[in-house]
Amino acid sequence: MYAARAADHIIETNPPTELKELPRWRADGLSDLIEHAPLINDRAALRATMSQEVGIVKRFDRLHRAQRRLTLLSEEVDIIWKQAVPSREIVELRNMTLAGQLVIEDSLARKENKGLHFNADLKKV
Amino acid sequence: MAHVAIIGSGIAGLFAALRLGDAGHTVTVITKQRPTDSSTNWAQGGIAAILDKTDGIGLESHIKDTLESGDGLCDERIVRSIIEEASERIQDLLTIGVKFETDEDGTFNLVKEGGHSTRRILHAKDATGKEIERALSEGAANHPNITIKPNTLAIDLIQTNHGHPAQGISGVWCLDQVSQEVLTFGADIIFLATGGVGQLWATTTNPTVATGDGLAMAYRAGAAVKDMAFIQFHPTALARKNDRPFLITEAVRGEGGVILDQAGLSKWQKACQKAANEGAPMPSPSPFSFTLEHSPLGSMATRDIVARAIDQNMKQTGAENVYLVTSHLDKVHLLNHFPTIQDRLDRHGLHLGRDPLPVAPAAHYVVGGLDVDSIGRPHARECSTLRGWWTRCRFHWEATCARIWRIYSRLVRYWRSRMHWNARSKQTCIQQFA
Repeated sequence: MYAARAADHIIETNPPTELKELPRWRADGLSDLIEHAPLINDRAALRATMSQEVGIVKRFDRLHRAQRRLTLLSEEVDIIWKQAVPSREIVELRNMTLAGQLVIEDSLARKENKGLHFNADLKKV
Repeated sequence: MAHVAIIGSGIAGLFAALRLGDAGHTVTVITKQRPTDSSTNWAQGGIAAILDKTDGIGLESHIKDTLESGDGLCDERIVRSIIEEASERIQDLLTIGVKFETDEDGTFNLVKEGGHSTRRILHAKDATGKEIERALSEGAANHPNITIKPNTLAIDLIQTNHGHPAQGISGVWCLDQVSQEVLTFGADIIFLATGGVGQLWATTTNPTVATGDGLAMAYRAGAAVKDMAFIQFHPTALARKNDRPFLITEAVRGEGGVILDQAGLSKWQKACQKAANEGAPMPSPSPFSFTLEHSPLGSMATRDIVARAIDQNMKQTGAENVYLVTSHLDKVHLLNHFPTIQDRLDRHGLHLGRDPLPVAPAAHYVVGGLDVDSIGRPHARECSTLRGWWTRCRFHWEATCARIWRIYSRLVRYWRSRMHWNARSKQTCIQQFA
């Protein structure tokens, strides 16, 4: 639906093409990058944390715990990201960590149980 | 004519590609694996639509059902406009070559799913997504204006002016997974049509590609996200370590299947043993279900209650799954009704009507995502130069200046009032901030 709307908007407005010279990805220092170690365990740890702490029934203490763990993980990922040759593994882990943090952040901010959000520490609506 | 880069090759990405390609734009579809690896390809159910635009009663009832399912959170104008447009989009899919199931007289076979009050769902048996992906892929593969780049993983969006998301995006960096090189790909328009985030959870019904790439990329480039807490879990997915979770439809519970935890299962089995020794009929497993603690309907309660009950039970007992038992039911009847499920169970030596089926809730669908306007343009997140303190100021990219100024001046006033807190009376302060 939105694919059609956005496409129709582009077709109607027909923007002119003006492709610019773009910066290369990390134009400097690419040669210093190293291969990172396997990240299977980090990915599994992230998924376990999300399943155990940010599942269907949430609680504030568990959300905070998950938040701390993901903060640690994202710091780890950042270090690897800056040093290592990009791979699908690290790109995905980086995205998953961020997405997880966004889920936790929104869950912590909610003051009522509505829709698919259910926090056992909040009063039933 | 514009150069458009579309990231993602599910229904949205390929649909947009065909529409833009037909209009003469140059389209590149960037996809992490192949179009057949998308969630679309795995979708079993169908698409709800009122096919006759003049059917006012049908449209109103679809709108009403949607608003009710939305728990009062939907924007009615958006719901209304989407439901009213649906018939045109279905027509587009038919023109592209999607074949929905029809009855003998040639009319569409419509079915009903949860949340719908009447039959209004078009489908292609239990493989609707596969049929849609097939038709779209065929159309895109042979299109002169569309290039598909498989095995290309988008890494990050390139901001026209780094650190200033409001000035737009002018390309994307991608990892070519064959050559392992990072490509710089320029485009006039970037179309994000990436999938969900199911892979964040240990059990999910989503394909392995669903790692929230588009969402994370856009967020890093300054886009606002919304409602990320709304993750839908399917209550009963087959939980087997060496196989991806496979949905066991709620209809199995509809036919009498009961959910038990390990303790309940042992108690019920003992009761069965005792009954067998005494020559009594097999007792019903229903009274042994922990779901009764959550609803008098037990295993037949609504999807969210059952999912919550299972989740809570697994957390309390530390178990990795609960069981769906069907051995008290008529085996022939079950096999007749659920041949696809038995097909999958065969892989694990399990049988409907005989074995307790290990099930657990699985992450299924993310309701939240990028915060966009009515045609899909993202809103920018709060400006970090305003100290990230103002957490809920969303502004449209086109109306940036005025809004920033308003927020900024309000903040300045607030800061001033804080600084002079001691010097002034509380009353003045409140007045100034208001």
